[in-house]
Amino acid sequence: MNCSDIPEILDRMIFEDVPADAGFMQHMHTCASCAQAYAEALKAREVMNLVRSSEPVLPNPGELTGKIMAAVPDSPSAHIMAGISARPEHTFRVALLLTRLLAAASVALFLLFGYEQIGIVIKISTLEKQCAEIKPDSRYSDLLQQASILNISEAGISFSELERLLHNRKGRNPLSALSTSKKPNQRNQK
Amino acid sequence: MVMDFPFSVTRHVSYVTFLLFRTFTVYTSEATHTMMPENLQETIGSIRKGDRTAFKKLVEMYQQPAFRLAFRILGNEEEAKDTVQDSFIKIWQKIGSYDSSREFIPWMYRIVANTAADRLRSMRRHVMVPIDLVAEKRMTLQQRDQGTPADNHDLAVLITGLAGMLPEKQKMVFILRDVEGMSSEEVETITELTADAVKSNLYHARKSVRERLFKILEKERSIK
Repeated sequence: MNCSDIPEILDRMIFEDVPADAGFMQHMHTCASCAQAYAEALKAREVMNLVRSSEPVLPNPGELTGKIMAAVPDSPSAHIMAGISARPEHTFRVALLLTRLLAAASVALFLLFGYEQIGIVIKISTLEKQCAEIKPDSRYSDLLQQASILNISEAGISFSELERLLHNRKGRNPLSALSTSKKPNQRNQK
Repeated sequence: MVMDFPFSVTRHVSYVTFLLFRTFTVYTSEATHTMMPENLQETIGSIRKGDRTAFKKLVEMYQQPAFRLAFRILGNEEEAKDTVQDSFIKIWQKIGSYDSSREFIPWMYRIVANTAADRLRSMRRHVMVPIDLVAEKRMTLQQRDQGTPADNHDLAVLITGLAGMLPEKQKMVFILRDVEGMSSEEVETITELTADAVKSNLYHARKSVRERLFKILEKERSIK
């Protein structure tokens, strides 16, 4: 027997009240540190035995019984209902139904709003790319300050087309030009 | 001699009365604590039908073991009494879900242990009892007369001193396995933990409690 085996045996002795075997006792005669741990474990076992054997006693059990009886629902129907609701298969079915309803609702919400959101995200990312192409000191910086993302996005036009619009309609508010000229590419194609 | 006779008769009569009373009390207390399984199933059947008298009988029979378990988990008499009350209300409500082919006591213990664990969480404190107080209470409990019931306050200090600092799962496993003396399978059923989880929690709990025990013993030596 090695010293490394001793802590497990001591634990079983302290907590499970398992007596030591001959091999263990032989090791105790040869190893002073294990013998010291064994002496401590014997005392620790006494403490654990005391904890196990000392049963806490419920003071005034009649009073507690009365309290419990006063607290439980009175009518048998309430009790039966409580029993039914506590049936695991019933609870499971309700939980399953609720889970399916939640899943269906989330899919419907995604279909309703998700598609539109994806379109907006694509438009904004395109716009950001186009904005990055324009230098801050260029003549379009004024236009960028005046135009809102939504207007440009709604118009569905690039900044090169914006430049063209600005050229053609000098003196007019570029925002009004934007709002009146929807989908210029499509118009040109027609 | 003349004077001794009535005295002796009185003494014998009182002794016989005491023996009869003791036999009666032992018989009744054993009868209440060891309910035959068929009687228990009969009682449970009546409770399912909403029989309050049968339920009262069940409460009277099992409130002490339920209190013992709750007290050992919580280390507090009042909290343990409230836990027992809540547990029996749950038992009344959930008796419909109890599977009669299985034993009633582990099912009841599971409800008590879970209710105690909820209360432990709501208490939200790890009680650290000073070692010297634990050592003092340990000596008081050790030195009490045989047959004298232990003082609940002293016991609460001792149990809290040993296991009060353990995390919830470790504490549950330790109390059920090493204090209540249940088998590993029973602990698995009550805590709903796997065999490996029970083993691991027990290992860590025992390590902490062992260290605590050695500190208490060291303190006792210094007190002496």
